[in-house]
Amino acid sequence: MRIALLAPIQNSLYSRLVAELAAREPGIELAQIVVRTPWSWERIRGELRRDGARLVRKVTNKLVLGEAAYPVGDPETLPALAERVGLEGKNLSEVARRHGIPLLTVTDPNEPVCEQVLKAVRPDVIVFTGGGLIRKNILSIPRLGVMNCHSAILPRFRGMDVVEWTILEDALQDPGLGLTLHFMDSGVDTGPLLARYRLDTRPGDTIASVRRRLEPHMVELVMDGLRGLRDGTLTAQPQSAEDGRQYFVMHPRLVEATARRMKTRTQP
Amino acid sequence: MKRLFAKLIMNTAGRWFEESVPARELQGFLARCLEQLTQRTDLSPEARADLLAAWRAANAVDLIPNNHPLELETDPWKVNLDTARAWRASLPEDKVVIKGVVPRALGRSLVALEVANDPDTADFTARAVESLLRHVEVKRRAALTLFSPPLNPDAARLERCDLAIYLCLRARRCGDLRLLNTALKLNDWAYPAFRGRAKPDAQARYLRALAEQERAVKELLG
Repeated sequence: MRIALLAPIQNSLYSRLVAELAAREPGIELAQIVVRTPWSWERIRGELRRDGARLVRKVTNKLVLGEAAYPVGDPETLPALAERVGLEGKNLSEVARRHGIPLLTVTDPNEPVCEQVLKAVRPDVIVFTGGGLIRKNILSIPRLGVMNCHSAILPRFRGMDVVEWTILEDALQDPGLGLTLHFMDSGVDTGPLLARYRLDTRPGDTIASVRRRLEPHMVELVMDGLRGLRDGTLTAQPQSAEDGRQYFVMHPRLVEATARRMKTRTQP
Repeated sequence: MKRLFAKLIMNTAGRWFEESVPARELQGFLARCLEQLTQRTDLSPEARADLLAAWRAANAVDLIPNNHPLELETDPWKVNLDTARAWRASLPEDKVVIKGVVPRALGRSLVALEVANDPDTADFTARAVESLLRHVEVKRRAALTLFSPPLNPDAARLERCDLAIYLCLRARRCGDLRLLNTALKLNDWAYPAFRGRAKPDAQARYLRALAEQERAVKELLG
């Protein structure tokens, strides 16, 4: 099975882990990596408009702190998974070089040059690990679809800040926190469903701790999905538009309320 | 060292880009401005009704004492249901957002349809809310700036207050926190314009939107 990978930035640990494990996986050929450059005025303006001050925190965490943003010695984090699987290097270029995979850097993954390169690769699946909205010209390229791991249980929680919305809407039991692997379509998280992972909360959990704990499972779910598609054991199930709602970036006052709710629900 | 540097960036640059207004600042502004505006004698009947509604909502959540000096005026929000139905009938394709353009009298008409509990309009208001949420969340500060027929910036600002009032009302009725989330943002973005030298009548509408927001926050989040 031929796949391509779309990544949001060069040093995304999630993207690097998926790329590394996919490259090592028998029967899967990672034929192309496309990485989005963060240094584009349009991207900065768009993300700043959407995220405001949160973007500063996000960029600082990713570019300045990197792996230092994670608690030292916690075995359930992305850096811990990277250590377990023996991931080397600091960026996707090193993964690409190590495995001989072509890497393309783009300003926007929907741009014509990206479309041409991906069409030439003729992938069965494109794995989306972040990097903005994907338009129909890219969505229609792979034989099976563009795969995304969404950080909540679909179809109920679509859109942004869905970990927080799951907590605020008192949905920790049903459908609970978790991840959903799905193929993307032109809607927001409305494409056919492939697999789900449910995360149990623990005493003392916070929004940050559950977010951190979900991350390594994203890598595992993507890899399980790729294996399932390779082996023909996984089929996509369509979801109904009426079964879920679209959520948006959460206002700081609601984030505060969410943190309070989480504290009361997970008090030791 | 790395953590210290990151903290410094997040504190300074984060504050620079922060566009939400602290709750205490908004609540303080609401209480102070309500007090000041009710002393004025040059307000329109509509503004007095807005102030009264703001006073009631703010009092309901203990932000101000229960001794408002206003006489009861005719509430301009009591839109006739037939007028609201006619407004809906005038919408192209029965949609409230078409290519980023919204109709005039949006918030008030939706309030009228909402409070009428008319089963014929339930599906329409549900669809309208979803497209308005998407419109505001995607366009953000540029949302509700293009009207049909066109409106001047001051009138458009009032329309945004009206939508925030409607979203708070519907959030309280349906328990849908997404609506409160969007209303909070609309009111935050409007704050700089109304904090300064806004016309008292316009400020009264903003106070109503803020008071409805605070009531919804208290009822839905405790």
